[in-house]
Amino acid sequence: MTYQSKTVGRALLSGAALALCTGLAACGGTASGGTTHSGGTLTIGQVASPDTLDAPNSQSAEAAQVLSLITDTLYQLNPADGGQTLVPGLATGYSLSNGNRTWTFHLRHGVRFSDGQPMTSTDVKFSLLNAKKGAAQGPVDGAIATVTTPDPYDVSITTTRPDAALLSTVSYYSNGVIPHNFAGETANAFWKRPIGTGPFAFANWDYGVSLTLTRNRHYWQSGLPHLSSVVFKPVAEDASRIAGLRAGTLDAIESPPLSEVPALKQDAGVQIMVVPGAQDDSLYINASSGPLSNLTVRRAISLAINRRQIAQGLLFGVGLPASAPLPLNEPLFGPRPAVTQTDTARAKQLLASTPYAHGFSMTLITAAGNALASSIGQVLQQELAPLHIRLTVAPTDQSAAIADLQKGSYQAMFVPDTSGQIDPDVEAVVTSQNEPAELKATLNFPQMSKLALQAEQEFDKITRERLYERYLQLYVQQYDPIPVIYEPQVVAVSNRVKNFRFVQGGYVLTAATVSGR
Amino acid sequence: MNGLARFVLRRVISAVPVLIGVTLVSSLLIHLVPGDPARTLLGLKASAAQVAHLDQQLGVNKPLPVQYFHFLESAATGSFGTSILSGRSVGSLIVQRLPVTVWLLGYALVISIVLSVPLAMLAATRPGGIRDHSVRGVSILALGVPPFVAGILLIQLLAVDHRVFPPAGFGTGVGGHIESMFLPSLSLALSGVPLIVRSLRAEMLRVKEADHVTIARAKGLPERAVRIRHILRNALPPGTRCSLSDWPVRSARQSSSRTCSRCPVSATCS
Repeated sequence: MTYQSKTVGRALLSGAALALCTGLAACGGTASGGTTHSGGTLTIGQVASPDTLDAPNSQSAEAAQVLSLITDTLYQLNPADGGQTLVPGLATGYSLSNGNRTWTFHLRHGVRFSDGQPMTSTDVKFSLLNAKKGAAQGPVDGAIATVTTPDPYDVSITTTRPDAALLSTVSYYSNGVIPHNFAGETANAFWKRPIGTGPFAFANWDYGVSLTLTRNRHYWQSGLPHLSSVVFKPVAEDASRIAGLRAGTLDAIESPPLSEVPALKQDAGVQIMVVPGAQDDSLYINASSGPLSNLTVRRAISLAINRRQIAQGLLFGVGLPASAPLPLNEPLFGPRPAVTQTDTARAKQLLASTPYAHGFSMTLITAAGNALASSIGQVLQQELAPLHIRLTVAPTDQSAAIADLQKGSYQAMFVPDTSGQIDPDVEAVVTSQNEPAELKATLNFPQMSKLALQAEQEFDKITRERLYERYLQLYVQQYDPIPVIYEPQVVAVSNRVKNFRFVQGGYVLTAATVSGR
Repeated sequence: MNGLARFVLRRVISAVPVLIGVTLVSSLLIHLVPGDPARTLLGLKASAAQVAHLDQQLGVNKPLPVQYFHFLESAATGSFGTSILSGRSVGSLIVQRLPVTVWLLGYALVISIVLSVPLAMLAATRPGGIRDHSVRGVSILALGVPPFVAGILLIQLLAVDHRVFPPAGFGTGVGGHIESMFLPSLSLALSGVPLIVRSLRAEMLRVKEADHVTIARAKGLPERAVRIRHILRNALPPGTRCSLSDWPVRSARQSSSRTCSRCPVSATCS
């Protein structure tokens, strides 16, 4: 079993989970309209610099955003539906054989790298096998066994066993196609100035200052992109990013603080794009002993939480009340269940039916520095008080918190979680394989694990959807984790920019234009 | 060996045990924090094999003394390792950031002197007068505004409302640096100006009473020349010494705690 963490939960406990995680999430927005004209430089204010442009070894969301403009994948997220489906990219289609174990992708003709060299199946094979070796993102390709090239425009991928998630895997940014043998360079030299078939070509990187991409003159979609260059600038300070957007030195900024979003929405020169539910924030419960091992107690706690009030009050109406401990960008999980309505009376009633009618004390661990988690902890303190549950919020260093979770030495922990791919396979199978032992001890786990593996090998979309819906039901019914809220991913874009889109993992800027300041 | 060289040598030698002590304690402190760096980097759902692989890559699976001596050995050769965040060598990151830091401090120093000297002269001309009270009042107010607050206000006013300066960045070329670094340098300078003004004013008032000033006046020198050549010139070194030596460090701490224990002019420490 080679499925690994992929990107899920890399920054599970971090307040800046989104900034660190490679998933921007699905949905997204579009700013459209106006006349299309060429030229212009789009400057994007990022929270941090990419860690590296070596795709298979990169870990940051910023790297994924930049690389997804430089390289293309065989299939890609559909920008038209906000990344809810996959559409052909460098491949025009695929056929399945060998008992659904071999995928033969038919490559688009006439595609050139930004250095002018034509792209063939040899390049795709090299890219996938190189990506599989990556320390950080290599595990994404765990299912890939062999890659062969029957002819220059066909590439066959054989998986270790039938894997319905392969299409999502090859669409992941770390599997972006690069020239065979790094175009004659060493790997190190190549990734300093990566070459791809994407709409933009790498131009220059002054680390910590700016990273510049210029229009790829050989881009396979003729006439595109419109922009002459895209510049990424790291601006760590929230206030400076917003000032840059307002002052016109930045055309788009990522992750403005949620408290500023209502004010930015009022700003005539700024459009706000929100990806709802890019991250779910849930309470992980240690159900192995004590009052919390009682399902009715966990249900009572869930009933006492006023999720709408938290979403409105602490996330300024930009967040959503959560109904499942999974981010919203995995459409195959089907519609999420309805949000649990707050019912303190019923919660009291339920608790009275357990041996804990007179309440108990519990500690909630939050990541130190995650201000939102601390605030939510304080709200929960008040909401659980009528149940005589005395909640203590314990902000803990992130690595210590992860160690606590691993060892099972916690009662409840506030865990933000994002997903890097739209296929639920990652989330479901990873949850089955690598969760700490104590999380695996939950009631429905064996059944969930079975469903996840079954769904992975199921190629009929409808049957697969049903399996995941069942998985979700089981996950929700065990009240561990208890979902609290969905945190959004927000991008603020100046009105000067038209046709700016973003989907999971990056920006789609092929049709974007920017007018003068 | 002359006195200065001996002094420098003594200080360098005495720094060695301090450095070893500091690095030893900080290395040990890091290991007191529970948790595994590889697990923290890779996340909760990474497999044990992945964590073990990264542990080995980072070298944190070796015994503590080995890790520490490896660090000392590398540090002695000028190699401080690789930043986990950026994957670049720590040395290159320091070299890259150094010019910006030097620019910021130098520029802030120039701005603070340009602002402080005339203000201190204005205040010292007629102590107790309206100009003196105004300058001292504004100084006290400015002293209470931390640089990050001043910075945000300046950005709002001069970068967003009136687009005179860019809100962030280092700019390119000397002209670009002067333009881009003005706002951060000014906000940093504003925290130093009150201290310099107050200590310089106090020192000028002291020098004003000195015999050589009375003699200069008696000789019939114009008041302007007396003030600049005899009062300001003699007041500058002691008046600015404590503020300037203390200020960069204090500013770096975001002026959160103001300690003036090393400052000889108690009047400036109010």
